[in-house]
Amino acid sequence: MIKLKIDSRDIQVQPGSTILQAARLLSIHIPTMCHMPEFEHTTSCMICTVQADDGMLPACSTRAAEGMVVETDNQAVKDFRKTTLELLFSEHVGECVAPCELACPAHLQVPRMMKQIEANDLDAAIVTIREDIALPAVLGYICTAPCENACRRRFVDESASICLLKKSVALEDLARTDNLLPPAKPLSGKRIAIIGAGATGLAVAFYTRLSGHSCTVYDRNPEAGGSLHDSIGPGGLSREVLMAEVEVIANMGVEFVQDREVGKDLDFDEIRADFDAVAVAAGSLEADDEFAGLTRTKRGLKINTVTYEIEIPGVFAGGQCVRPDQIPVRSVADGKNISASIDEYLSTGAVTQTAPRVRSRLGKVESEEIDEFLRGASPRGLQTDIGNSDTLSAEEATSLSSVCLQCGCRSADSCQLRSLADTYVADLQKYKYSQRAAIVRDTSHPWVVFEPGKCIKCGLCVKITRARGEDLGLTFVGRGFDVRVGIPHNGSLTAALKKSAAECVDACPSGALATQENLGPIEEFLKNTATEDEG
Amino acid sequence: MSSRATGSDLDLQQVDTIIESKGGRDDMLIPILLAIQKEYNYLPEPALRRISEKTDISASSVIGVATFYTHFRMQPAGKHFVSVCTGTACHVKGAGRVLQTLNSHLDLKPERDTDRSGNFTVQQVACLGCCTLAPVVQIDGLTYGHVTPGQVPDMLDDFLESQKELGPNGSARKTIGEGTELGEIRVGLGSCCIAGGSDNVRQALEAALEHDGLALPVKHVGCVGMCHNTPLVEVNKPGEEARFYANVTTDAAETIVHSHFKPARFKDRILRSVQNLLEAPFAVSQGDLLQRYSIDIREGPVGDFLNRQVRIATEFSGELSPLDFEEYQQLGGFQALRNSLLDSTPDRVIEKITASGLRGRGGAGFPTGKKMARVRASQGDQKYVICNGDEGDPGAFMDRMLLESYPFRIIEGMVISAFAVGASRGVLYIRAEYPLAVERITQALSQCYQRGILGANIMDSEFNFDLSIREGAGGFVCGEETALIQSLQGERGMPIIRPPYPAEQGLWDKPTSVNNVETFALIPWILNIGPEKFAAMGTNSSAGTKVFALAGKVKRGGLIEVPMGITIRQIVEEIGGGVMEGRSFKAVQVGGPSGGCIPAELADVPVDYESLSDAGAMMGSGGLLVMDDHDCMVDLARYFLSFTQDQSCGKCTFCRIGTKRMLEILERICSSEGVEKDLETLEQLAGDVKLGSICGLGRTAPNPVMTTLRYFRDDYEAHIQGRCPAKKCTGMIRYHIRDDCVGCTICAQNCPVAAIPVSPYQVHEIDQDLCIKCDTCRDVCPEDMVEIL
Repeated sequence: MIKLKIDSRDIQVQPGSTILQAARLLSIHIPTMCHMPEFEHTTSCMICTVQADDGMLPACSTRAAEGMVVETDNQAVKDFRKTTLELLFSEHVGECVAPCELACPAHLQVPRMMKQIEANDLDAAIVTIREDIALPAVLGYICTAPCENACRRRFVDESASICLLKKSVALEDLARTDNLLPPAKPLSGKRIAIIGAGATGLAVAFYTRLSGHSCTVYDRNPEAGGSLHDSIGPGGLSREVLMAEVEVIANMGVEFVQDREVGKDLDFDEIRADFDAVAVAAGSLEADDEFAGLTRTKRGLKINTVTYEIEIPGVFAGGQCVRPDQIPVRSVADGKNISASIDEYLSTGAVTQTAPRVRSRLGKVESEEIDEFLRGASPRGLQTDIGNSDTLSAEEATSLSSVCLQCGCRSADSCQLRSLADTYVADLQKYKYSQRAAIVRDTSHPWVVFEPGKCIKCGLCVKITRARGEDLGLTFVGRGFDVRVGIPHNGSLTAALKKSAAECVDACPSGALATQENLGPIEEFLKNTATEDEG
Repeated sequence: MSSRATGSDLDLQQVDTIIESKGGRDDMLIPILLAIQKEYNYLPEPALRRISEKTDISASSVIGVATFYTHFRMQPAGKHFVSVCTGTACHVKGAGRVLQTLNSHLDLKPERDTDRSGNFTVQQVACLGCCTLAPVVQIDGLTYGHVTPGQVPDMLDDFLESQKELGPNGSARKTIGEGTELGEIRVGLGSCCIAGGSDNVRQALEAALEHDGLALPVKHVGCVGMCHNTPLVEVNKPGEEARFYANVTTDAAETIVHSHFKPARFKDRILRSVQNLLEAPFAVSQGDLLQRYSIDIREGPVGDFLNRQVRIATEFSGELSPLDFEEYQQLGGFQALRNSLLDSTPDRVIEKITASGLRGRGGAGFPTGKKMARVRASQGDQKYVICNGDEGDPGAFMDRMLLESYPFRIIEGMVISAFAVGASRGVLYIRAEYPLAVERITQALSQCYQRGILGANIMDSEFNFDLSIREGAGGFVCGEETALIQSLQGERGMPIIRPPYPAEQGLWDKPTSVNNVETFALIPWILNIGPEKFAAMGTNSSAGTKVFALAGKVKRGGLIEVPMGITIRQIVEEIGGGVMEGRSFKAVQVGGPSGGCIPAELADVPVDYESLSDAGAMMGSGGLLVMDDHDCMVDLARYFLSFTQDQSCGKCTFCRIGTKRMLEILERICSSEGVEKDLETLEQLAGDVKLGSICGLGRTAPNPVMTTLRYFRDDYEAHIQGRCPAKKCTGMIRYHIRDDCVGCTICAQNCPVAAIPVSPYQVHEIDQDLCIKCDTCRDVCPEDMVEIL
């Protein structure tokens, strides 16, 4: 047996074991990307580097040696991994988040919603929408739609009708008795008070309730909705739609107490004492208004802009009582964020100031590159003019949503590269000295999207396709900095990945190989290719 | 090139024949691809498909391997290959400008290396071995030396002209050694070539041959050895050693022909007259002339060049004919092998090698005896010995010289090693770019089989050993032993982390001893003369001798074998004759792209593994480039890094991307766009690349940058401030014509980009927007009116 020390802990392993294997016996986590236990190590990405005997060694393939002293997480190791990621990102051609999603204050997952609508899966679409937007029908009428302003399709013909599609889906859902919501957590027993039933307050209630906490909303008006009522007008938002969305929230079990004003009918300190947490969403304050003795700035209440906390523990504030002139979608977004802070506060007693996730950007997209995006979207100049209608037929919805270029990354949430960049606080721009490579997107496979620009050249997919006996499979093409993963003999992606598509996507540590949205289960594709082979 | 064709009309019959002859095993992929390329001049897509159809080799492997090695082309080439030598010496002398001019003249783009007419394919090659004629361009077999950018159009015309003279069959791409039964005469070999007047010599030789009715080809070839006496003529006769004549004049040409191809009685008389004609004959793979003129050689510059040298790997240089088995035997060849096989044991052989203090000559210097003992101790039903002849340093060619000149010595060293470690099979891995080495080794192997030196019961002992040759398809990284093994197994040449070392798990996972050519060449001497004699040479840590390729700004360059412990100053001043008059010795770059720069102040450093690595350099490939005050150290670092960056296999993140980013920083600095912070980032990245790469290539790639930053930081600082002290970096200089210009228009006529308007009798002016800083105007100006600002 080989004896060594990892992070000051002793461990014995069989000769020939790697440092990584030894660390795993101690449940010490060492990140990996190019490593897959089934295959011989590649030692390519270097993210598993640890410090041992004064050298920096890849844990996945360095054999544990007698008396070795390994450190897996000291500053030198962290710096090294950070540089590794920064180098990998210096050639990364991809954007984690689509411009529309980024522009939306609530970060509505537009590309996903569009794909779902295009596939006529409105049940999925409304859930996607409500994951980020508590009042989609209302916003469908009154949102200024910063998403559409950012839409890349503008450079082809015109922006996608994101807001209209969202409205149509939301209205369709409101028309039925059982509204479709994202899954709610079981009741926690915690109770939250929300002051104000406007856009922010309603959103706090919606998401807090989904997190499993009981909510009581106190509102000074006879009817919930706050200043959203001011936006009601002929041909636009109606009272019916607004109240229908309030009802969705009420139906979740949120208690509304109308006609109660803090400072007059209610004592703020008593509310604080009664509840586990309080969200202040009281709407815009008059210039010299003071609210329950809370500190305010020139514009509104003073908050921590990341966590939405005010100076009193357990009290959060957002919406127009903080920034009086903000647009409604921003208020709805505030509500979602406050809810997340409250949830964290209730479970841990504090709110961390998490930095936003790293986001790789594409920079300027050349007009010829837009064509790469156009693959899989409806061709140039085929946008249907729908006019001002509220609800869309299935055909119209499909047609309008098919213009979406599916910007952003399909693996944004599962990407190891991105998640490690978050962990090691990588500066994605640090080594971006030269112009990035051109965008390439291969969407020809019915189930897989291949974006070579996101590839870190770990070779896992090459190994998998070989091990599974693919006829063509994938291969490395070229050498050195310009090496890329490609398909032999200029074959198609469909021909290359007949058996191992799902496995390759699963193994890919970045978003280079990802699944197309909503195109049926992989099993069907596999069945089809199997019959083809037999035939 | 009978079956050159494209697209669907490609005749795949040839491919099938090749596959049949090589067999369909995975490890035959590279030999198959080499054969296909030889046939079609590139790798046509249908041919590649055919391989995976006809064999079990997957499409993924075929494409992965075909696109990995530099030797393979995926596009058809033009009729003629224009090879621009971008080796170290040529770089220093401005090969980059020549290449730039060539590309713009032929309107080539990064994605298109063949001109529109399909006449010329331009490629960069690592080293043509004509270092003293730098910069050198080779068009098929024709070598042009001292090429200036301004001469590029003339050079191409001249080549096409020469093709007309020669007719279709005279055209080059013949493999070296393809001569007639009578032999052949080569012009330009050794210390080359055209610029020294060898074209006239060629004509004189041809005239003489014709006069005598001799059907002998006269061929232009690249240089093999040391080089300061152009033009050089090599006479090759089948079964005879090659002969070299230096400083040959047209008058001497006829005499040379007669001396070799006339009756013997005539020869003596003639030789004497040759004697008078030759100022200083120089022999690389030898020449009995060398002995005969030993007195002359001990005097004068050639004497200085040779006196300091000690010949072990190159023993009997000047006497030994490469393929003369008897001669090698008479001079003590195979004695060490006989003694080992018949009167010794493997352990005793290993003891002797260990006692000699021999360390690997491939660069890293691992003790050879220790490596042998490890392989011997490893369990395995099969063991291998591999000779690493994948020399890839852009400025060194000693392995090629050893393989071409001493094939039997290397084979003997290998058989002895095999006996010591218990191996029954061996492979000589040699670059396909070294056709002559491949040919000589092939012939030597077949002789050894015939004479019982290889095969079963070698020298009537119980020992059996089979040795074969394998051509490498190009790639500096394949010099790394694990990459070399991958390549032998038919894979992409990507290194694998060690341990396990090849000594435990090498070729086909069997214990394998991988050694450099020079290491094997030293073994017979050690066993014959004695390990203690070898150990007595050199320093405590580094015994014996080392072969170096001495080039750059010295008066006398070439291949030298020197005892370890000699100082750099002794090499530069005593062997190399110092730098040119009026210049000052600035630094030496030791060890090629993996090595480092040692400044003149540290020139008294002895040449041994530890001293060199303490100074930040390394023995490395054995390249030794001398630089003077006109050389820019930042540009040099950029040059070496651009080589290693280009040669990275692309596996580890740090080597693949890190070297690229370092290069980008250096390029910025060299084009006056550098900022102070760049130096810090460069240093940090250099350190990280060194630490974060798994093989020798990546770990040493930052050395040239690190040592120049360490010893010549002032040069870097000056660049950051927008000034290149050596006036070399084109981004920081501009050409200017002084007011005293007489208006002779010569510069204007020669400017390859027409940046100087023709204005007779007026002061000429350079259009800075058009100027490519090729230095032609300064070069041609008879009045010395062009200055660099």
